[in-house]
Amino acid sequence: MGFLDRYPEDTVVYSLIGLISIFLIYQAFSYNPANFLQDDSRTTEAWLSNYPTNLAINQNFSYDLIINSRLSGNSNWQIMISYDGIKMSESSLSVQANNRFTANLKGFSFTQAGRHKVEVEIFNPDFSYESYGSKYKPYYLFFNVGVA
Amino acid sequence: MKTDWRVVAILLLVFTAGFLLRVYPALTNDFPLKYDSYYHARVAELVKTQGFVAEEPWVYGGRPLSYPPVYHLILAILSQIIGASTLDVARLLLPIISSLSVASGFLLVRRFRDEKTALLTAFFLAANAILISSAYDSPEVINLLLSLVLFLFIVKQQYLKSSLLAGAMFLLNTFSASAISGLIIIYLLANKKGKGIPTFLIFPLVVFFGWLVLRPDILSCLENTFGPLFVGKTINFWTDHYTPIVVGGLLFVASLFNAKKADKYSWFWLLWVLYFGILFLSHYVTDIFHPWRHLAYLGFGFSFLLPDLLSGDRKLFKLLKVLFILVFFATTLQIYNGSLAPALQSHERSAIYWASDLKSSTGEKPVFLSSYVTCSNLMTLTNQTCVLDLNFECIVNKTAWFDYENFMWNSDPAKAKAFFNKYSGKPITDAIFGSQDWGGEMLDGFNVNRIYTSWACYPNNSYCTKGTSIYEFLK
Repeated sequence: MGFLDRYPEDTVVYSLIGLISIFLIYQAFSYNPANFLQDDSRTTEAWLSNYPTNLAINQNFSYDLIINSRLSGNSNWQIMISYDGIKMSESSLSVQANNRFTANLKGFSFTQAGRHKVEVEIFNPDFSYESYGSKYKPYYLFFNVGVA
Repeated sequence: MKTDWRVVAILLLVFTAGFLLRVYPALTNDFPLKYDSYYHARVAELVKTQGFVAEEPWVYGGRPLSYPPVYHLILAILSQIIGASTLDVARLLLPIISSLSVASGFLLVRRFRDEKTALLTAFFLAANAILISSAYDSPEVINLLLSLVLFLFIVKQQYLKSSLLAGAMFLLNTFSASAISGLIIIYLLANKKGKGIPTFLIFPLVVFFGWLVLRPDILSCLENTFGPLFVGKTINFWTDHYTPIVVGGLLFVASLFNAKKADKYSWFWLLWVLYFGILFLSHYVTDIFHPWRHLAYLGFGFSFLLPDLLSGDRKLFKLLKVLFILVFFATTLQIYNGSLAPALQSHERSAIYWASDLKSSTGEKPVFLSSYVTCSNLMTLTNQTCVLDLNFECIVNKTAWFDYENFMWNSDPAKAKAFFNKYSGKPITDAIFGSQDWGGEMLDGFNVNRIYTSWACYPNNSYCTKGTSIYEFLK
């Protein structure tokens, strides 16, 4: 008689199915939405508000940058502002856990008529700017303004 | 039949595993796990609040509501009775029904075979990666379950009952009812029971033509060569093709070797796998069918055909049982580790909720352009208006729809501009690019403001998503 004749098929199959089912029950509970990027407490939002659409030459303007943090800890952010692609200012701000921060950005005017672009980059200073690479790209917003 | 209590105990474990593997992910997510459920919940809400309407609201003036009514009616009624939202009912109903196929499969197989084969079938249904991952979005899940009862009626030659059931299945989901009815007809012909076919067809035909009399406009929905054109882009050969071609092929050939002693039960599942395998392969030559749908039918068929094949008396089968149990186990683990991702990531959903308060520059309700998944979420969760949607049947302006879809899919600014400029007269005011969408940055070169962005970092900041962005189109 060979091995397959003596092989306790029922015992093996039943035991295997039973044990795997128990493991799968345990495994089912290991499902965690956060593994699939489902976790509000890891989200940060940023948006622009009250930005101008038209300006006169040399007219000062301001606008709001709102950072809404749902992070469980405080977060630090570096804000870089550029006008028509030229970086003009850099500042840092801290947002408390699960909080909203409104930065009123002002003190600039355009001296030439035409269409101008105001861009705001937001990045985490815990990572050096040079090391952004693909992992830590700055997040950015922009608006266009007509100057006449 | 004397009950083996070992079998009962293990069946309970198998059923519990099948139930939890499907239902726990649905419970732990706040929203339906898969895309189509957002569409179904929205239509069910429409049914709940306005009754049956002929059209779904849409930016181009509404499109015929072509989906059969029963699933939406079930969602609406359950929502009314339980007091839960249609979205919550849609989130949980299908995974619960899908897990019922484990117990039903066991009972069916026990009737035709023995408890051992039935238990193996129940396990292959419970720990079935294809069935688990397709248990969240389409009422086809209900029709798969009902197909077991249909088979029983057919075998018992109760053609009128089977006809009634097939008619009801048509009112749940047209494609699955048509496909399964086609299989039944072939099965009856192959078994020289063709006389039963006219009786079997009575109610499906009554339902189909009755519906057509009431709603002749849905004839325009039968032309469905559009959706799969871009759906096909997402089909990955190795993950989606090896199953029907390699596994199905091997299984089918092995079953044919066993065919000498095959009975009506074996032949049904043999035909099932062959039939849905051919339907799957048909997408290489026609765009009519969504290829990924057939995987669920094939996965279902495998779960019955494989244990039936392995219940043969060849010695090798004893070892193959262990091998296939381990294969099903491994692929199920894989699903849990990587494939049960929700439709949108949470920061993308934040963008949708932020967009819900937006007004266009003229103070009117904005019209969004986004991928069909984001659009469908936006419309369902916030009642905003979006250009694209899920459910590719009955698209009113197919050319515009297809162009906008391509706008979202490509990353070539010149092409995107050409698509967009073609329809510059359309009232799109804002666009949402999810972090999973291609080429969001290409919009930077358009006449736009980028007014919102959201992102998330997981875990311990080791990975940060791309920003999900909202653009405002400028005149």
